[in-house]
Amino acid sequence: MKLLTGYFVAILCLLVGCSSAPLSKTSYYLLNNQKAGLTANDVSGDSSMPKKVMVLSVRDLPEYLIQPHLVMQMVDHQLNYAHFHMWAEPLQLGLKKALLTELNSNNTETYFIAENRDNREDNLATVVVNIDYFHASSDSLVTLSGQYWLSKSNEKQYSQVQPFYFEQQLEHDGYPHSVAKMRALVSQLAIKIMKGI
Amino acid sequence: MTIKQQVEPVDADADIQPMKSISSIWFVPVIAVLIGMWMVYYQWSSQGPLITIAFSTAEGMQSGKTKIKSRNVDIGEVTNITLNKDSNGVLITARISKSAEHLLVDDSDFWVVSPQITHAGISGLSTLISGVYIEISPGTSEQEKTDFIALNDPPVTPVGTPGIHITLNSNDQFAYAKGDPIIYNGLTVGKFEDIYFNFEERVVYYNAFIKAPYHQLVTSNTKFWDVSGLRIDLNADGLSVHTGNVQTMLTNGVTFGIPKDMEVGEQITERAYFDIYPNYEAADDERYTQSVKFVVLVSDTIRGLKVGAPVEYRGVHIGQVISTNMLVKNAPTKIMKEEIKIPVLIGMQPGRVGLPDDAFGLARMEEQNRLWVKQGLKAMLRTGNLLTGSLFIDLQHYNDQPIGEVDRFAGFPVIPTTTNEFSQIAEKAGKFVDSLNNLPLNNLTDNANDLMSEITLTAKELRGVSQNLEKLLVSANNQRLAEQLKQSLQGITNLTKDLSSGSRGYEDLRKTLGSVNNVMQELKPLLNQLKHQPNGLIFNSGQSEILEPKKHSGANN
Repeated sequence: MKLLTGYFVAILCLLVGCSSAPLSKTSYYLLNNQKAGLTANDVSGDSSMPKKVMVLSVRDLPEYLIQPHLVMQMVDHQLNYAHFHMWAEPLQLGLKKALLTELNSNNTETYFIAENRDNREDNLATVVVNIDYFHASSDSLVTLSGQYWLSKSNEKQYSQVQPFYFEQQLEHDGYPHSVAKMRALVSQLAIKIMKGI
Repeated sequence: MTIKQQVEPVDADADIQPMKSISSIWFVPVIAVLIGMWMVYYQWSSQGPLITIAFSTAEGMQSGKTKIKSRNVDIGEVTNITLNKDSNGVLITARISKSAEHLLVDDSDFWVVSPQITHAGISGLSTLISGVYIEISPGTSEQEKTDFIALNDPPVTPVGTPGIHITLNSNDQFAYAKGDPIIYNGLTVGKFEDIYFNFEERVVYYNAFIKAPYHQLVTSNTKFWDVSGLRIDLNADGLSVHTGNVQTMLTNGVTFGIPKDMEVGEQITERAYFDIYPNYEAADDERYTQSVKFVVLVSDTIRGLKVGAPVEYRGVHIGQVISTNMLVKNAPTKIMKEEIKIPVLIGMQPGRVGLPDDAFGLARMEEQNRLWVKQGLKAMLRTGNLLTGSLFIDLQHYNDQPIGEVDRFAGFPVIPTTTNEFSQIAEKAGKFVDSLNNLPLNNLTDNANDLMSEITLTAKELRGVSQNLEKLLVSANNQRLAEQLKQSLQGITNLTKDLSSGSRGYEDLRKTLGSVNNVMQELKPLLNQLKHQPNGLIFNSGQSEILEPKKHSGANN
């Protein structure tokens, strides 16, 4: 009996030793951080609020971005999903928030609102953004590419499609820095849209 | 000097003696003659006898070459061949060796062995090369003989073969040939040896031999019947196929046996005579020697009724038809007004019903049948086989008026007849048609017309009632159906409201699905890892390296 107990304890220790791998902690990221959003002054209300309103519509993201894991492109056609680095909210929603933040900051003529069920039938001028690629890569680059186009109010015709492609080099290791660079690319896209308008 | 001395004669006295008259050299031819005589005597004394054999022809035989053999051992040689005095045969002179002298007895047989191809097989093929020879079959007699008459063909049974010789006879149209087999249960146990036709009796007699030990099967009650070829019987009992064995399918043959339920009898020890019956049934019937004869006067056609057809009493075979038409010998002598009934002679055998097959059984059966005939026993022609139309005679009791005296025809008592089945059916059908004709069909037709008119009116009224009832039911069904549809639509509307976009239920459902989706997304890596490494929950997966984006090489730390 004692011998059996000894064997059982030894096997238990062996299993515990084998399974005691170092724990990895999951990190969650927001594309649009609160610091970059509207300030308290913006919210308090400005009487000189521009009257022109445009609707921002972000089309559905590519399939590989409709999941919470951060993505890194390894080689030409291979992607890696990070196990322990995840978006805290759907990327489409974060992207929309970040674009709205950038478009509405320092813009005195136009106020952008997100497309929803209520304003869909209002025939407001709309800027439509379609994202093709939005990820970091193993060769130290962060890429954002796609197209956008505008439709003026009361017009069913869309303007010419404008393609865009932005990339920035990573200056630090890790996903937190790459998320910051992705946020910066959104800012570049917002600037281009503003210029187009 | 020397020469002179040699020439001069020597003066000496010679001793002169008288010479003998016969020289001793003459003993040599004398001894030679004696030796020769001794050789001639020895040759004469050691050679066998000289015999003569009469053949019908000397085909293939040569003097000095053709041998005489017994069991393939040379015992002699043909020395001379001549025609007989009448020139209708040849005489063969042969020298037999002394050691085989004892074979030359009275019942020894000689025949020429030459190639033969018969239905029984092929024999004598060796003589194609060596030439024919004369075979001797030694006899058992003790009387010596030197003049023989040869057989034309080899004997079927060699002399001295154990077994029994029997004589079979047949007055039927059978034709057996020498060598045809005698079968017992498929085994060939004997053969036909020779045939003799008795012109006085007009009967063919066949001498046959049954070899040992099968000769023990032949007893006083043994019956022989024909099994030649393939016999197919299509009679009142149906279709039956009979054959002996493979050999008898090609040739003729007979078989023998003891009929069922018959005593074995005493074993035959010397030549006996047996009849050959056409088939087993005929052989079986032969044991019933006694039969009570009755006449049946048939008013129907007797086509299909044959001699030998069974006579049955309530399905039991008690006899057979002896003659189908006695009119040939008993034709009416005067013109008759009434129709002629065909007299059929039947024999009822007491042995078939358990009575003794003798005069007592005969009298008992006749008395019994006479009594039954008086009380209503009647005969009827029945069809035994619909395919062949063969008939048999069936005896049945009918509760008719008893008769006082049994009629007679040509000296035989008569069993009354009744019409056969077809006649009865036809008679009943005729009565039925007559009854139909006598029916008052006109009145019936009028009544039927009135009834049909009333039925038509009733049917019209029923149709009107059913239409009204149908309308009523449709109206009630429509109202009920509309109410049910309204309730169902109300329920569907309420359900749609609960699940419509923006409703509380819809939002709860959407959130729940979103939460489930998030959980599933988080579980995805774990499931993926477990898929590749099922023990990954316990053991390290080995992938210690965590892939993360790296800064570009030119960036500062």
